[in-house]
Amino acid sequence: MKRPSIDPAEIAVVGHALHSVAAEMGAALRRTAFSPNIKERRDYSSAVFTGEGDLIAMGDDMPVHLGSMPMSVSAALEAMRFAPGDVALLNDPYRGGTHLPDLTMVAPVFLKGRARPAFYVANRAHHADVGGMHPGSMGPCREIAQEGIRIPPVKLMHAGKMDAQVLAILLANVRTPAEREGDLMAQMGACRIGIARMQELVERFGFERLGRGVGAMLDGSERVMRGVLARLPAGEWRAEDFLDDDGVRLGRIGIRVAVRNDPAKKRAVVDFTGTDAQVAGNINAVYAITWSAVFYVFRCLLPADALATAGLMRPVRVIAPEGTVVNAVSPAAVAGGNVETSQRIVDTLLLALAQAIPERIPAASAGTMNNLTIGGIDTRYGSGRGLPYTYYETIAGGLGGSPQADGASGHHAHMTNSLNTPVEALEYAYPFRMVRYAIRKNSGGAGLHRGGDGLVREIELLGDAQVTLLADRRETRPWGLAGGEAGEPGVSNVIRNGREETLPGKCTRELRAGNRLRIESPGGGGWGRAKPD
Amino acid sequence: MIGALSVARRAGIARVLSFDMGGTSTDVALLDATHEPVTTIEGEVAGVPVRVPMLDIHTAGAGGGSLARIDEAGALQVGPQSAGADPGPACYGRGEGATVTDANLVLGRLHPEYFLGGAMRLDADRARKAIERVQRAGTGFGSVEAVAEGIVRVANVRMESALRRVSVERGFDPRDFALLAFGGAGPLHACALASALGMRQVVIPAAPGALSALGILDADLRREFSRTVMVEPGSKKIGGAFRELEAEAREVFRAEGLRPVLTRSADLRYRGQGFELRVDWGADAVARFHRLHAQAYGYADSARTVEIVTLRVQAVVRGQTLRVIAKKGKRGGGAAAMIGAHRVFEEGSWRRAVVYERSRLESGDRIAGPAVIVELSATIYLALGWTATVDGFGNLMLAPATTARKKTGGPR
Repeated sequence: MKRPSIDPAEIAVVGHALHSVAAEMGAALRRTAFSPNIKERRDYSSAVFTGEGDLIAMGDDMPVHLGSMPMSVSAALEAMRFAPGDVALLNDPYRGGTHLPDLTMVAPVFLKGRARPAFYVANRAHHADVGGMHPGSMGPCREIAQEGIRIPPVKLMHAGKMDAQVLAILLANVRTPAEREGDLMAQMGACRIGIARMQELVERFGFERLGRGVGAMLDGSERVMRGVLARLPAGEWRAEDFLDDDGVRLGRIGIRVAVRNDPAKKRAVVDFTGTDAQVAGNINAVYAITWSAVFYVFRCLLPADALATAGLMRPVRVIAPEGTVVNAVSPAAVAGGNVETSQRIVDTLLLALAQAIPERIPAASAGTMNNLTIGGIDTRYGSGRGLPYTYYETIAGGLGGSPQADGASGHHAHMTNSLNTPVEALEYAYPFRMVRYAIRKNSGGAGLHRGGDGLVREIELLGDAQVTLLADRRETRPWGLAGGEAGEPGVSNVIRNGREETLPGKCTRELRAGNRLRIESPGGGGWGRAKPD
Repeated sequence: MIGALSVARRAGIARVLSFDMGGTSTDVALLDATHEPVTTIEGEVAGVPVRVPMLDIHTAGAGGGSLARIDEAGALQVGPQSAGADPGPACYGRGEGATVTDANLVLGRLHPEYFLGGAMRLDADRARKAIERVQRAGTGFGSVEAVAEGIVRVANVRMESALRRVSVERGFDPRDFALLAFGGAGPLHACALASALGMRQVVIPAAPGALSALGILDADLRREFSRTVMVEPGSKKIGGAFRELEAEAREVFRAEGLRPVLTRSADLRYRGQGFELRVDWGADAVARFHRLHAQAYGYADSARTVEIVTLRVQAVVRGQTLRVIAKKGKRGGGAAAMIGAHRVFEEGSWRRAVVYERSRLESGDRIAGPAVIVELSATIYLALGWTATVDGFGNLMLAPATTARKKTGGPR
């Protein structure tokens, strides 16, 4: 298929302009959001799609959303017909979502004189609570119905007007409705900013010309990925890695992958056949997440300035058998699939690729997001009776040492690209006191290039609260490569009246005012044999 | 940047996006002469977030020396690699790579004889050959001129994104600002960038190539007094806090024997948000906040609690010395400053353009584009459809021809 060639400047100009639209949507969302997880930690993504639902621009946001946003758009397109001013909302992991706290909005961009949407804009933000058994909606559940409110693609806005009934059902099912409503308004405003910017772009370029640029950009992305595959060696590389447990039953859960590359055909297949069956606990990943993890790893092989578009993944096929932890089916619980299993899929893929291109692959990073959710009543507000709050945060760990350098300490790795909640912001927003926030010395694996160290974060609760931990790499360790040693596994302790108890990686506990929680995140693996002293 | 701010104030322009394009990169900043420079607490130094006020400067990865190349996707990219000062752009005579400077030369926007006031002769053939190499590396290009135009467009779109970022992200619309272009390469790109951003006014200060290093003395004395209050709009604390800030302002200026003009403003947000919008204070401040929020972020919610985070009092004493310096200009056509004819490539074809020497332009002179205006530290490209007027301080004020007399900005 040969398109008429297009001026190379046009491709770059269109690519930069579209990226700028996605970045502006993200900025609007961040600046108007209410929850610290969105405004401080930037746990959101925004993206632009063609009228057919192909990803054409994405802000430099969360990799785990990279591949899964297009599936939200296609689920919305299947479910409804859009009119101007409509906005769709969804979170159902089995219909375009990832896990329930990620609420995604999809909005059409209509142009004058065209009956069908010319583009779509979408954004996704992780909300600190969507109801369910545990405050923060990230606890050890056994089926999705326990995890929170499940929203198939529905219209939240009709022709520019909020559907008060849909909103009422949603807000009645969450613990912190005022904050949720504020964050939803911020997402909705960001959609409008995206729509306005896209309409301006069309005004400037003309629809036909913009469309040609977009087509060339998508083809260009495909060419870039094919170039990468052509330079990878031919062969098949297999790897397996494990999650500690699923939070409700003991026993490791294996992820197995075979990466097959055919440089002559410039095609690759990533095959997860042999991965363990879906489990009772919440670490099941839906296909969108597995696809995102593969997208992320292959994107890491590209030149740094390659634009993230749908064209990139055209030459890569992902096989994930239904009913496994990498392609779970309803009614499996999925909260941890997005945050923990996604990280392990990346680890497994990197371990396979380390056999193909050992000079480019780093040792394992922390391999867990150390998800911490806390919910309770904040008596500082609400005149005596207090107001409910829900807090959510992921805690960074050490990065793996690479063939080139030591791993960095205290960084969010791979599928999460968020920041921390600054201590001041945390203490202002929640009834907590930060007792300690430090680098966890010597937790990175030894090696020619050391693994980065994890973090220590110790929080004192100022009121009674329910604390939920969703973490991994408490038993298995972030592996080293080329003779480097593994990083230290994570530890989570609760301190009551001076007595310490070590918690399982995935658990929920009722704690009292004055209790402390200390989380030590894993260090990264080392790369290369350490030189003797 | 501080120099840029005082130029804007002297030129009577309140709100400015400044754009300092040098050899390897471009710094953009948002400056509001009615207030202190827009400072940010979202700063980053060497990758470490720092929470101290600083001038809000954003760096874009393209400068005059940025190298053009065809990437694997078949797209023309400009930067981040740069030819630097050594070997420099191909037209300097040593390098092979095609840079933004080479593209400007091929398009006639730089004149080979008058670069740096004629101190350095540019090699136009060498620039053309470098661009031909880029042309051969890609598919789908038209003429060499089209390639050169493409290089300039790609560099511009990157700077445009950076300018949008410093304005839109802070809740401002670039159309309400004037563009202040300086640095050795800034004045070459100013008209195109202003057009792309919908800006109606461009200011090229005197000595634009050296401005960023100058730090010109400011004519107005101004200082801002602020207090974080975190209250709702009806709070009784507000009036008292403003009066205290004003008393403090008067006191500070009285020590210098001066009486400042005081204006009130406040930073507002919906309770629970992490960022504020600044509005002038008055009975309609909250209504104005809702409007501004809707305009900047796509929605407003008048049912939601508004929080006043910071109260500000701006104290200004207008400079007296300026009236002495400002020259009264006669309306002229700049004929005395014409030093030659040239041809420039724009919108797909070659056009005749006049070359002016800036030092010979008089206050009040008005010229029409396309024109190339040369001076010691920079070359200014006045695009087709733009006019330039010399103001009383030697600044060049550029505007699209149809709205040449319409002024943007102005105090809020």
